Parts: sequence; C-alpha cells; structure tokens
Amino acid sequence: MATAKAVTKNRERLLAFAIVVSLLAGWVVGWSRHHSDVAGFLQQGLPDAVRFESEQDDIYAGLTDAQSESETVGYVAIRSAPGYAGPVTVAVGLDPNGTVVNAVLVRQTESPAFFRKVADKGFPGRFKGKACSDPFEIGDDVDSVTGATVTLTALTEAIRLACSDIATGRLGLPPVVRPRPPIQFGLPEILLILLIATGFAAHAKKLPGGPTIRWVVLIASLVFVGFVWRRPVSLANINSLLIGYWPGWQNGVYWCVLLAALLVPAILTGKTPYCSHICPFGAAQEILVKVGGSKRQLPPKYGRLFKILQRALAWIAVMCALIFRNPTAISYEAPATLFTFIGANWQFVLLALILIASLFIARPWCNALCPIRAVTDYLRLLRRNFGR
Amino acid sequence: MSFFEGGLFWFTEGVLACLAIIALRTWTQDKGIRMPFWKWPVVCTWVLFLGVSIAYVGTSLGEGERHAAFLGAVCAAVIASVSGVVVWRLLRL
Amino acid sequence: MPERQLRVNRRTLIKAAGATSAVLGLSGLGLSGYRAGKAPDSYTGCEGSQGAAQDFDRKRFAVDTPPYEKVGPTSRADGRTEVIFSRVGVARSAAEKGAKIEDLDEPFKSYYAQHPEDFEFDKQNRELRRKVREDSEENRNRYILAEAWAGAMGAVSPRSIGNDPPEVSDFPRQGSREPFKMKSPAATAKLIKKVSYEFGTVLVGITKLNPDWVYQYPSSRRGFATDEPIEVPKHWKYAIVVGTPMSWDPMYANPTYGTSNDAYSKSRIVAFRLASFIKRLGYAARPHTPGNSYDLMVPPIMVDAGLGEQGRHSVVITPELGCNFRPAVVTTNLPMATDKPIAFGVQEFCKTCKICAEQCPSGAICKGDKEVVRGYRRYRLHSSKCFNFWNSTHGSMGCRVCIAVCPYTRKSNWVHKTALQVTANDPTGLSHKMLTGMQKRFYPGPEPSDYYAATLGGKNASYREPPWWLKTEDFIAL
Repeated sequence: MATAKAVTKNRERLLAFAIVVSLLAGWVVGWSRHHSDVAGFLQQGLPDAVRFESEQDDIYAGLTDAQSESETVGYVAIRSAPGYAGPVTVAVGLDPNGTVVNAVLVRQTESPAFFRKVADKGFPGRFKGKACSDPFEIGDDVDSVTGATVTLTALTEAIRLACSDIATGRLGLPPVVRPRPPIQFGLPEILLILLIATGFAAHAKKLPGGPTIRWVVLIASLVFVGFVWRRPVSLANINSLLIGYWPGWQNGVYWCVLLAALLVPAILTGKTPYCSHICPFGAAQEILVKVGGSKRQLPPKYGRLFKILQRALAWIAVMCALIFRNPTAISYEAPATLFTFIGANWQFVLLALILIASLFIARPWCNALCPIRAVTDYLRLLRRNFGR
Repeated sequence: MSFFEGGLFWFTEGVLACLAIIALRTWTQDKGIRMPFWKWPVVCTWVLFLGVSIAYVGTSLGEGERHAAFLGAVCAAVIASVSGVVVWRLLRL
Repeated sequence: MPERQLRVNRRTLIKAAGATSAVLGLSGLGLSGYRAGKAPDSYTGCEGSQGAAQDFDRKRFAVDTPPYEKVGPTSRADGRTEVIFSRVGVARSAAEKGAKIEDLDEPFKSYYAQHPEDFEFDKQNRELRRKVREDSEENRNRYILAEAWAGAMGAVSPRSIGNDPPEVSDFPRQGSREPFKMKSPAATAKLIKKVSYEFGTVLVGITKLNPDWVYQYPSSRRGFATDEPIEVPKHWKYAIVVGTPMSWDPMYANPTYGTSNDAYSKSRIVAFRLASFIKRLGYAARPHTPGNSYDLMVPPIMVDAGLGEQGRHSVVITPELGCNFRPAVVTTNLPMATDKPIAFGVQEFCKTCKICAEQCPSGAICKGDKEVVRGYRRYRLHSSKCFNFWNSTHGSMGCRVCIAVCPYTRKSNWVHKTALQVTANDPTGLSHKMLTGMQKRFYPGPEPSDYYAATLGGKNASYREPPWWLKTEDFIAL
C-alpha cells in the first residue's frame, strides 16, 4: 500500500516537473521566434547601418561595415507597450545624438479599425526626427487621434521606452523624468476588493450566516464582475503573466487584485475560494442548478475523463500562448462569451451546451472544462509535491 | 398570396392550437398533474415563446441574416431550456 | 339545491360564451371579408400606388414643434460652398494647378480658409478614384452588372426645369389657366396625397415651408443669379415631400453594389408629375429633386412634414423605410392642410446607438454630441470626408453604408415592426440600449476599413452579400 502511494507520488512529481519543463521550453521557443524575425525591422529602423550587433536588453548597435572596429551609426531598440488587445511593438532607431532616425511597427494585435486610425495619421513614421528628450505626451508634442487613444498611447509609450532606454543605456544621456500615469482606482476596484474580502471571510467561516453571504457575494459578482464590468479572470490573464506582458496601467489594479485573489490562496493554502465564492460564471451555474433542482455531480467515470480533457486542453492553450506569444492564441472560455456576448459560432454553441447542462449537473464548466481550475489544480499539485 | 400569409393558415394554426390544448389537458389528467387556472397561462406563454423563437429563426433565414438566425437559435435554446425546466417544476407542484 | 343552481349557471355560462363567440366569429368573417376586398394586395400590379406602405400611426406621435432644437439666430446654408458638389470642383482644379487657398476666388477662398481641412480632403478625391481604378481586373469586373444596373436606373429622367426664375418657370404658361378655387385645404391635401401615391411615391407629407431651409446662395443653375442671395419667392408657401426607397437587396450590399439612381429617378418622376398636376390646377409649383437640383435643404423639410426625424448620420429616419428613402420636394402656393412633425424616439435612440458612426468608413459621422449649425442643434456631418469615400470604392459611386447599417432601415416584417413599436413607445430608453446591443451582435457588419477598395488598403467589402442578380461572375464569361 505504502509503495503504491510512493509510486503515485513519484509519478505526480514527474508530471509536475515535465509540465514545468514544457512550459519553459514553450517560452523559450516563443521568445526566439519573436526575436529571430527582427532583422528586417532593424534595417528599417536604421537604414544607414550595414550590420547589427545584438547587445543586452533588446538593443542592437548599428555598424557601418563588417569590420570588427567599425563605427557605430546608432542603436535600434525593440520595445512594447500594452494597447487595447495585447502589446504594440515597435523598432526605433536613434542616431548618436539621440534623434529618432525611424520608427517602424513590428507587431500589433489591435482591432484593425483602431489601428487604421492611427496609421492613417502617419504613425509611427511621424516620430521621425523627434529628440529622445521630448516629453512624448499626446496632445502636447504628439498629435492626438480621436477614437484611438489607447492604441496611440501604447504606440507612443513603446517608442518613448525605446528612446529612453537607448538614451540612458547607450548614449549616456540623463533620464527624462516623466510624471507617473495616474493609477486607475475607482468604484469597480473598491467594490471588487469588498466582494473578495467578504467572499474570503465567508469561505474561512469567519462570518455568521456563511451560506447566505456566499450567495449574496456570488450574485453581486455575477452582476458586477460578470455583466457590468465583463472582466472575470480568464486564462488569457494567466497567459499574459507567463509570457511577461504585464497589464496596462489602465486596468492594472483591477487585474492585479483579481489575479491575486485567485492565485495567492491557491499557492499558500491550496484552496480556491475564488472559484466557490466569487467566480461569476460559477454563480451562473449554481443559479441554474438551483433552477433545475438537481444535486447530481458528473458521474465519476466520466468525471476522470473530463479532468484529463480539462487539463490537457488548458496545457495546450498555455503552450500555444507561449509559443505564439499571444495570450488568446487558443480561447475556449465560455464565461467571456456569456458576459461580452462576443465570440465565434462554436463558442456560442459551447456556452449554450454548458448552460443547459448546468440545469442538471452541478458546475459542469468548473469540473469538466474550466482552464482556470486546471491551473489551480496544477498549483496544488506543485504544493503537494514540492511544498515544504 | 401564398398559403402562409392567408387566413386559412391562421385558421389551421388555431385548430392545431385547440387540439394541442385538449391533448395537454388529457395528458395532465393521465399523469395526475393538477391544472389550476394559473398553470394554463404559464404553459401557453412558454409555448408562445417557443413559437416566436422559431418564427424569428425562420424570418432571419428568410431575410438572409444567417448569423442572426444562428445566434437567435442558440439564445432561444438556452432560454427555452431554462424556462422549460422552471415550467416543468411548476407543473409538478 | 345549491349544486343544481350552480349547474344551471355553468350551462348558461357555456351557452352565453358560445353565443358570444359565434357573434364575434361571424362579425370577424365580415370584417376580414371587407379587408380582403379593400386590401392593397388586391390591386394586382398596382399594390404600391395605394399608399399602404405609409402605415405608421403618425397621429399618436405627432408633436407641435419639430424634433430639432433652434438656438439663437439662424442663417441659411450657402449652396455654393456648403454643398460638397458645388465646391469640390474648385478644390480639384486648385490641386491640378497647385494653387493654395489664398489663390482661390470668393466665396471659396473664405470657406476653405475657415475649413482648411476640407480643402485637403476635397483636393484628394480625383487621386483616390484613380487608385480605385488601379485595382485588379478581377476585382473591377465584379461590379459590371451593378454598374450597368445603376446606369440603366439613371437613364430615364424628366427634363430639367430650365434656367428661368421661379416667378416665370413655377407658374402655368402665361394666360393658360387661372387657379381653380379649391373647396377646402383639407380636401386638397387629401387629393394631393392620393395622386402622389398614384404617381409612384411611397411616403408623402405636407408642411409650410420654413424659409430657413432655402439656400442663401444657389447651389445649381435653376433661374437664380449665381452670386446673388436668393430671395425666397412669395409663392413658396408649402412644401410637399415625396420619395421612394432604393431597391432593398442592393441597398444592403453597399457601398459597392448599391445605387441611388433607382430611387432618385422614381422620386424625380413623382415630383415632376406632381408639379405638373398642380400647375394644371392653375397654381405655382417647382420640383426640387435629386441628384443635385435643389434650391433648398430637404432633410429638415421632411422633418417638418412629419415623415420622420433626422438621425445622427444627418439622413432622415422614417418609421416605415428607416433611412432607405430618397426624397424630392415640390414647393407650391396651393393651399393645403399641413401635417404635424412626429417624434417617435429617434433623438433618444441616436444618442446611444452610434452604429452608423462606428461603421462609417470615412469617419464623416460624428460620435459626439450635437453642435449648433446655423442656429439649429444637430449632429455635424463632415461632407468632405464622406465624399472622399465615395471616390474610394468600386461600383456606381456613393457609399450609403450609413443607410444600410441603420437599425431603422429594415424590411417590413413582424420582427422589425415589433422592434420599431417597442422603441417608439418606450419612454425609459431601456429598450433602445438593449436593441442596439442586439443589433450590433446579431447583425454585425465588416470592419469599416474593409469597405475601401483593395488598392486603398481595404477588402472591397460590402455590408451584406449582393443579391443573386448582381453577381457578375454568375452571368458573364470573363
């Protein structure tokens, strides 16, 4: 008996280890893919350079000829800043005086309509000739584009980052002090923190009338986190974190609080009060099962099968995100479809099937498909095996 | 004017509705389900919703709005299932 | 004893109910028979001329003041500069000569000095058209049938009204006829509406002409001196607005497959017939018709005449046809009872919907609030941007995407008629937001930038697929 346990333990450790290795490999593949195709952009960024030498921090030195002691005509830096739908990445070439030689777009995943507005006004080429010490302030030295503020902000910020990194890191110019962008902290953030605090307290059985409070929090979360703000935790957030895209300051506080509410308890205690007490899609499923009047769980036979499916799908989604460096490379998240009501046809069918199944089975999404559950399960596996 | 726009069509619909209601009555009696007056409008509303949903999908297809027809069908399926379970549980009261 | 009484009561009740339903059923048969005899459908081949399409209950939504806001002193539009077609040629030739705004003649110099961005836009459109023509042969050939159809629809048109001043050309030929004395303005209005339907209009409305809507300076040569202000003729007392829809299926396949010509041509014919009819009664009448043969702005007159409300895209939204309506106006001194303007929720709806502004490929439709234009509060339309897009796409010229995407522009079936009634009768505006959301998700369009020609970075997209009979590739061997 004891040996069987030991075998399971060993197998678990092996699995946990294999997953870590695969994720690391995925990250490295994605990173190198990302960095192998920059040569063309480097040349556009600094047309006078004959060859480029890769230096630290994603900065490339542009050299006049193939000789080892040839002259440096400038530097190109590749930088990103978070836009509306993922990072906006640019390559910026600076001459030794700190003037922008050229700025070219490397990659962006904004909605075409938004990006077109910015491109129509001649961005990012319009940054040509700017000094790296300029304020890079929209409405001041950068013309604004109505209806595409977030995209233009991202583009400007990426170019500013490139300029200031080259200026301070290579040209020895003093850093330009900029006022910090205001932190988004309003009613949604306060309400969210309140919801999470109440939910956690109910989960820890610190409140009288726990079950009632759990329902109140769940319904409030369904209304606000779900339908009003439309921003529950999704695998895309975790993918962004793994890839290394930090959320933009616009939504920073909200995301940090929400992700912390999910991940911190899972890591520290192995429990997931977010899932049982706060998740708006969990709330929707629980309401539906109350409507259906059923107490059934997934039958254990299928339950095991679904667990494997759930974790395998989540692993595939994370791997693709890492390899393609796109947090939403594969997205099958029904909550997003429900709350935003935007999605491909198959996503609507999936959502409908889950909602109808919720009438008869307790939380089918959580138990059979939710990738967040797979992630927390994995964290628990790590904790169990490597915890102490 | 085709059959589906004419009075005869609606007359037929009416006859079919009457037959359905009579059948529902007999079925509930056989099942031993009590049918106080308030259950009738509940059932009728649900059936009406179903009818309107099907008609919406048909009209959208007819208009050439396939996406609207598809989304309409999916939404109607969810709403009809959820409310169907509610109606069923009310009937069993 | 009480049981027996109950039974009698029940039997009586059943009998009474049976008798009532019999009476109801029989009278229903009579009524439906009457309807069947009178129905527009029974006028085989002339269903449209019975006025049946104008079926919205306007009386219930009638208001005393039109649903636009007058703020402070008003002025009239300058037809020479504020009408894009009148000014665009000046900018084009300036572009060819490399001339600057300072080199232009008045009134264009001061207009473009005030709107320098319009000058930049207006200079571009010939170049844009050239780029569209550079598109691949395969792409261009796709629109052969659409262009042939549009051309044919514009091929038949009444004669122009000539270049005589209104004091001459509006009146019956000298001495030919004294005006007949009409029995009552109400009867005359009824008559004019009936004959308008018979002439082929779909909607008709009558209003007193507000002189604010007449151009300050003329936009085309119709008997007014080019550079003298128009003095509104005394006999332009009333305005009759008529109009017809564009064919629905091509209209949804805009900007490429649709055309304005079909409705333009029909509305022009109606207006000329109506003017001729009025002149034969001895009164003055002048048609103001599409393409660009007006002495006045039509949309506000449509609002005054109770045909609809002006939307965010500046097009008037009618309850029956949405904005799929190409109007013409007849100004006259024939005394008629006038219609009241209507307010059926459009102002509220347009505040939040913004679908036209989001889908507009040129960004000509504003997403913000109303502004004061010539003393009236309205949504500003950037006509230079709009016209540039006309030149940035294939097909028969024009765009019409805002007309196609407007949630009010829907065919007449129970789904859309119900939605219209809900929005018109909902004072809370809650249904407006819900229906807008449904509209966006259930009836999505392409990305606005995809509407551009392929050589201008677009995908030659249209809002909906063209109808089968405009698909060139299915008929012509290329």
